[in-house]
Amino acid sequence: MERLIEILEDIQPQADYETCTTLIDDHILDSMSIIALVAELEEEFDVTIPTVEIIPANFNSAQAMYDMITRLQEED
Amino acid sequence: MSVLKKVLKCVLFMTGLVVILMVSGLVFMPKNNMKESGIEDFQTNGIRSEKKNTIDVLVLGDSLSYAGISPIIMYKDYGITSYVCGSSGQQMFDTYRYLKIAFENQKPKYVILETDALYRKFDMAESIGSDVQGILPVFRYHDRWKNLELKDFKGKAKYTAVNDHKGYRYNDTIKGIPNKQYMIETTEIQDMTDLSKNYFDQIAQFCRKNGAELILVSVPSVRNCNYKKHNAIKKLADKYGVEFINLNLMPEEVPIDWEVDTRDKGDHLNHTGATKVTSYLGKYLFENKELKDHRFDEKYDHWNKSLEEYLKTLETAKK
Amino acid sequence: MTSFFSVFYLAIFLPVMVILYNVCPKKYRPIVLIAGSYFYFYSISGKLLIYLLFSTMSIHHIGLWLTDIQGERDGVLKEAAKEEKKAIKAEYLKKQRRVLFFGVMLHLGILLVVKYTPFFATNINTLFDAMGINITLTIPKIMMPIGISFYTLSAISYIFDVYRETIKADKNIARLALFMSFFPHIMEGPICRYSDTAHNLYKGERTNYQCLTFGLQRILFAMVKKMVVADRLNDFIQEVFTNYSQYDGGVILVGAVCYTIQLYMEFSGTMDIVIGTAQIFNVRLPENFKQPFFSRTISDFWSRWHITLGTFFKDYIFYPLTMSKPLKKLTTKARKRLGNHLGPMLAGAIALFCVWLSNGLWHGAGWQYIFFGMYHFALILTGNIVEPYSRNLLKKLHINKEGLPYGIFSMLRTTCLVIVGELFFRAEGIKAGFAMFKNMVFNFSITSVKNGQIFALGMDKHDFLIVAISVIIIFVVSLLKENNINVRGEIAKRNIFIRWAIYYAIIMFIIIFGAYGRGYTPVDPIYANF
Repeated sequence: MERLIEILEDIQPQADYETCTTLIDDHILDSMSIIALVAELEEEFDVTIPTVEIIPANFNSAQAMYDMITRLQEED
Repeated sequence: MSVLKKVLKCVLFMTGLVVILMVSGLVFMPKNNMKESGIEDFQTNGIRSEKKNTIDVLVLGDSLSYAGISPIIMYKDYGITSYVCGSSGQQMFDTYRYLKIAFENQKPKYVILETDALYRKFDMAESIGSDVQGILPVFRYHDRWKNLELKDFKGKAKYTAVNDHKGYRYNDTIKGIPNKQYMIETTEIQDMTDLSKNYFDQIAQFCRKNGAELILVSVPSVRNCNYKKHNAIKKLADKYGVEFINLNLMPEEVPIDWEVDTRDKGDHLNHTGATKVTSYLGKYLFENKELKDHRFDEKYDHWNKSLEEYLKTLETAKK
Repeated sequence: MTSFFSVFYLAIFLPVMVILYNVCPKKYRPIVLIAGSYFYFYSISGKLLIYLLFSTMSIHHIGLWLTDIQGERDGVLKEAAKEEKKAIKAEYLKKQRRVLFFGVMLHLGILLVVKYTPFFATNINTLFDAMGINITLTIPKIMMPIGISFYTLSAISYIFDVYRETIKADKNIARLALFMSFFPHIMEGPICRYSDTAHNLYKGERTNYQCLTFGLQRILFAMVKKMVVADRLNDFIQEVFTNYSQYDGGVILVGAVCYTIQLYMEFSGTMDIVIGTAQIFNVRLPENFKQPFFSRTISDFWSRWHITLGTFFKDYIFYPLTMSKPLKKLTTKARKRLGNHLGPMLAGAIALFCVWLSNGLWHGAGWQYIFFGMYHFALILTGNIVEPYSRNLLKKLHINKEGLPYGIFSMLRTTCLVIVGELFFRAEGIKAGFAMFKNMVFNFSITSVKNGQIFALGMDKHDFLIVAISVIIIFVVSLLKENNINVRGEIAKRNIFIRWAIYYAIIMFIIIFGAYGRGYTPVDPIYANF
C-alpha cells in the first residue's frame, strides 16, 4: 500500500491519496495519468492489468487500486 | 393519491390548458383581413369582406386557380361575380375550410374546384392539425406575437379589406417552354389518395346541402396535368354526377401558347394565359348556367370600382 | 414521421404506445415495445429494417458463440494442471479474439460500406484524376438505414463486453432486439450499453404517475430547446453558411455562435425528449450531456458533451490501444527517458489520434469532419502537454486556479475553441470553413449589426430577442444544475398553484414562441444523419 501511494504521488502530486475516493470522478487522475499508472503498477507489482479492469470503480481510491492488484496477483 | 384523484387532476389540468389556449386564440386571431393585420393568405381571406350574398361563383384550389382564373375579367365580359378562394399549396382540408368560410357570408350558386388540389399529398396528422388550428387559432397565428397591438386584446375581428382582384393574383412574367403535346391519351389511371377523396366527398355533400352546383375544372398546366390524372378525375366526377371541364384538352377553345402564356415554364399561367382561360370559362358559364349579368345592377356598383382599380393595375404594370 | 417533434410522434404514436404498453400484461410489454420500435424504424427507413434485424441476429449468435468458447475453456481449465493453465487460457483467448474480430469487422464493415462508399469513391476519382489515370468510378447511391451509426456502436459494445466477460451473452433474442431497436434511442442515441439498459428495458415496468409527469416535463423542456431556439435559428444559419462570402466577419461570428447554440439545443433537446420518453416507459437511459459549456478544458468538454460516444471511444479504442502490449512497452520506456509527465504522452497521443480520427469519421464522410476530429485531437494533446507548465506559471503569477475569475476565463476559452471547431464542422466543405474563419478574424466589423443588415437574413430583431431570452433561461437552469440544484425537484416541492402556473407558462411559451407552422423550416435531426 505504501509503495502504491508513492507511485501515485510520483505521477500526480496534488492529491490526498489516503482519503480521496473520487480520484476519477473528480478528474484528479486523467486518462494520461492512468496510462502511466498502469504501466508503473504492472512493473512494480508484476501483474497484468487487462483493459476490462480500467473502470472508474477500480481507480477511484488508492484502496480500490490496492484491492484490484491483490486480486489480480491471486488470480495469476 | 388515489387513481381517481390523479385522473381528476389530469383532466382538470387539461381543461385549464384548453381554456388558456382558447382565450389566447382571441388575442392572436388577426383583427382584420389585410396583409398588415397578419392574416394568412390575405387575398383568399378577402372573401370575408365581400358584400353579403353577392358572389355567384366560388373558385377553390391551389395556386393554379388563382393564377389562371380572374373574376374581374369574367365580370368585365359577362357581369358574373365570382371569387377565387385559392391559396398556394392548398390542401384538400384547406379547400374545405375556405369553402365553409366563403359560405358564412355568401350563397354562391356554383362552386368550381380546380383539380390540382386533389393531388396534393398530406397525411392524417396534418389534417387533424388543421382542425385543431381551426378550433384553437393560437396555433395558426402564434407568430403574431411579433406585432401584437393593444387592440388585439379587446374587440372582435372586423373584416374591411376589399380585394380588387377578387382572389386572382396578377403576374405578367413570361418564362415559356416549347409547345408540345402533354395530354397523351391513355386508359391508365393515376388515382388520388383516399384522404383526398374523403375530403372531396365532404365538399360535394356540403355543396349539395347548400344548394350549390359543384364543377370540376382543370386549368392548363404542362407540369401538373396529364391524361392519367384526367381519367381519375373523370371517374370521380362521374361517380358524383358533377361536371368536369378539362381545359388542358381544349386547345381550340383555350389556345394556350406555352411559349408566352406561362410564368414558370409550364407550371403556372401568367396574365395572358389567365385571360384566355377566363374568357372561355366566363363564356361557358354564362351560356350554360343560370347566371345573371350584374353589370348594370346598382347593388353591384362596388364591382365597377374594383374593375377600375384592376384596370389601373394593368396600366401601371404595362409601364 | 421523421422527427420526435412531429405532430404524429407526439400526438399519435407516443400516446398510442403508452396506452398499449400499459394495457398489456407485463409479460407482453417488451413485445409491444419491439413491435412499436420496428414500426417506427420502418416508417422512416422502410425495408432497410433488414439491416437492423441482421445486426440483432448476428450479435445474438456471436454472443452465444463466445460463451461457448468460454464455457469450453472453463471445462478444460478445471481438469488441467496448474502449469498448463496459462497456455490453455492463451489458446482460448486466441479463439475468442478471432470471433471478436469477425463480429466487430462485420458490423464495422457494413457501416463503412453504407456510410463511406461515396466518400471513398469520390476521393479515389479525384486521385485518379490528379494522376492522369482515365478511370472514373461510378458513385453508388446507398440508402442508409436510420440510426445505423448508433446501433452499430451498441452492437459492437455488446460483442466486446461478452468477450471481456463483463456481461453474459443473452440467450433471449427478443431482449437483444429491444436493446438494439428501442424507438426513443434508435435515431440519435444515447449509445446504450447492454449492461445498463437491456434488462431494465425488458422488465416491462408499468408507467406510474411520477415517471409520467417527470417524463412529460422533460419533453416540454426539450421542446423549448428544439422548437423555440434551434428551429428559429435555422434559416439564419442556413443563409450565413451557404452565402458566407457575402457577409463580413461580424455576421460570420454571429452565425458561428448561433450554430453552436443550435447544435447544442437540437442535440441535447433531442436527448431530453428521448430520455423523457423512456422515462414514461419507466426506463432510465444514460445521460448524454452534463452542462458542457461549463467545461474548463476541451477534454473536460468531451466528458460532458455526447458522453456516451466519448465513453465508447474511451472504453473500446483508447484504453485497449494504450493497454496493448506494444504501447505499454512504449510507455514504460518513454517514462524512463522523458519522465512522468511526457512519458505516457507518446502512447496516449497515438491512441488519442485514433480516437479522434474515428470520432471525426463517425460524424460523417467528409474532410471537414476529419479536420474537426484532428482539431480537437490537437487541442486535447496540447492541453495535456502544457498542463504542468501552465500550472506553474499560474502559481508564479499568484492566480488561483480554483478561483471563480480563472474558472470563468477557462470556461469562456473552452467555449470559444468549441465554437471555432463547430464552425468548421458545419461549413460546407473544408475550403469554406477556412474561408469563413479567415473572414471572421481578418474582416471583422460590426457594420451589419449597426445598419441592421443582419436582421434581414432570416431572423429579425424579435427573433434574436426571443432566442436570447430562451438561451438565458436554459443557461440559468444549467447553472443551477451545475451547482447541484435540481430545478424539476424544486418545482415539485411548490404548491399546486405555483406548479401549474409554471407548467402553463412553459406550454404557452412553446406554443407562442415556437418556430413552427408557415414560414419556418424546422432543422432536420442533425445527429440522425451521422
